[in-house]
Amino acid sequence: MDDFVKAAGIALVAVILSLILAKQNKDISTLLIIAVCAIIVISAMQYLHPIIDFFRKLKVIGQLDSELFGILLKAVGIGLLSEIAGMICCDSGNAALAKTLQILATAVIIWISLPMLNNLLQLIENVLEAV
Amino acid sequence: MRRILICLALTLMLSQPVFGVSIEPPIAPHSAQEYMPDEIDSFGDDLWYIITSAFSVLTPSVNEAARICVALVGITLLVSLSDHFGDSVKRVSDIIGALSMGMLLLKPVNTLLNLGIETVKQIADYGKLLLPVMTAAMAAQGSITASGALYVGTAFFSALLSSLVTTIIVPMIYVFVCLSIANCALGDKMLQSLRDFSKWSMTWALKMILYIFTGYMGITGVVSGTADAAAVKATKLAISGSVPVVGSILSDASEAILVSAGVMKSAAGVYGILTVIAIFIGPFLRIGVQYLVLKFTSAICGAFGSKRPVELINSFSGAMGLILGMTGTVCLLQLISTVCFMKGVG
Repeated sequence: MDDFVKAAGIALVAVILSLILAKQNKDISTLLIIAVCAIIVISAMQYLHPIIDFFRKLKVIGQLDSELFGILLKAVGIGLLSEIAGMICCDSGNAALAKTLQILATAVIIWISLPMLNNLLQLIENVLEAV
Repeated sequence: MRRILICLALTLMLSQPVFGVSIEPPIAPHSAQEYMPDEIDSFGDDLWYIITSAFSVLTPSVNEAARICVALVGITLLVSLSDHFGDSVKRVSDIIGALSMGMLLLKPVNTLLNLGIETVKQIADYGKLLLPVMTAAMAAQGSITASGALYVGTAFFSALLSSLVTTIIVPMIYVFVCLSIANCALGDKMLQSLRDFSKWSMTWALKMILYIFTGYMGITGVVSGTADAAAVKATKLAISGSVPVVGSILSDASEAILVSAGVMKSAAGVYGILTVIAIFIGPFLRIGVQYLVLKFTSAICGAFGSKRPVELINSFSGAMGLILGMTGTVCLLQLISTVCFMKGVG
């Protein structure tokens, strides 16, 4: 809770500073925002670890396929990173870059899911043969 | 002396040969024998024995269902995290989530559907052996025309239902499941409509068969009589609640079932009825556990998950319900027709 309050405070101060700096030097303002975002993401990591451990427990109890679980976890991670990076790009006035990053994230998620798609096709083939 | 001889000759001429007809029901198939009692005493006790035997071997199915429940909760949590992503990333995450849930659920659906088909075949095959025996018993008591008509009707409906199940319902369940996965992945209205239509058509087909069958039974008047009103109400409630999809129609025929149950107590073919129940009860409980656990999972995931994954879990529980309805319909059709014969036999 303390960390969250600190992070929220840092974010608000960074926004005010960025608004002031933006009038004089937009580059510095953007760099400030990137730095604060990085700090917040790093501080969020310590909370993500227990969550990932919880998902691992669910995976073990549910006997979920490691490959499938890994794909889902990576997809969420890629989605989160692309979202943060895209937002920063948008804030710095590079909407096209943000959109391109989202397309890249989509392509990467599809690419990491290819083994799962192949398994699914195999399963469908088996079912169709049985029918 | 001459009169006595004439009387004896007339007596011999007028006398009819009488045979003691021994009606032996066909032996229960291997899958049913593990639940069957060693000796048939009273219908109630033996039925209770079958039910308790079936419940005692249910633990692996419960474990399997619980495992799937936990895995589904995990996937739904992960998929729900993508709700706040940008459009294209969210779209692809939804597709990946739907496909992974589909992969997880397709295997049990396939296994249980095969189990359902096997059960339907076993019940139909056993019916083919049992009904001629019951027809012979009914005909031996003088009801030759009635037994013939009843046999023709029952055999027709039984064959119709079996072929309907294998040629239409089973492929339609696969279509329904695939449409559900596609709808969850893409969220398309057209796919949703098609999915709902496929489910409606399967339900409608099963209901129609049962309506026509119960109507036929009503017209032939084989199942008639009155049963206690409270018992009828209780049976209606139990049947409509326990068998998904077609439970409401079966509950309408509950008076017939109750009247038939009264006949069963005194009938010789109790073994046949118990065998049909023993064939059915194992798969019914296995599919039923999966159905209930999926309902429970969708309720849990509904609390935190996005709409579409929860809908997908609901659709899969609907598919389980259809398998239950399909096997339940075949079993109850066989039971009702068998007890109709038994009523004729007395």
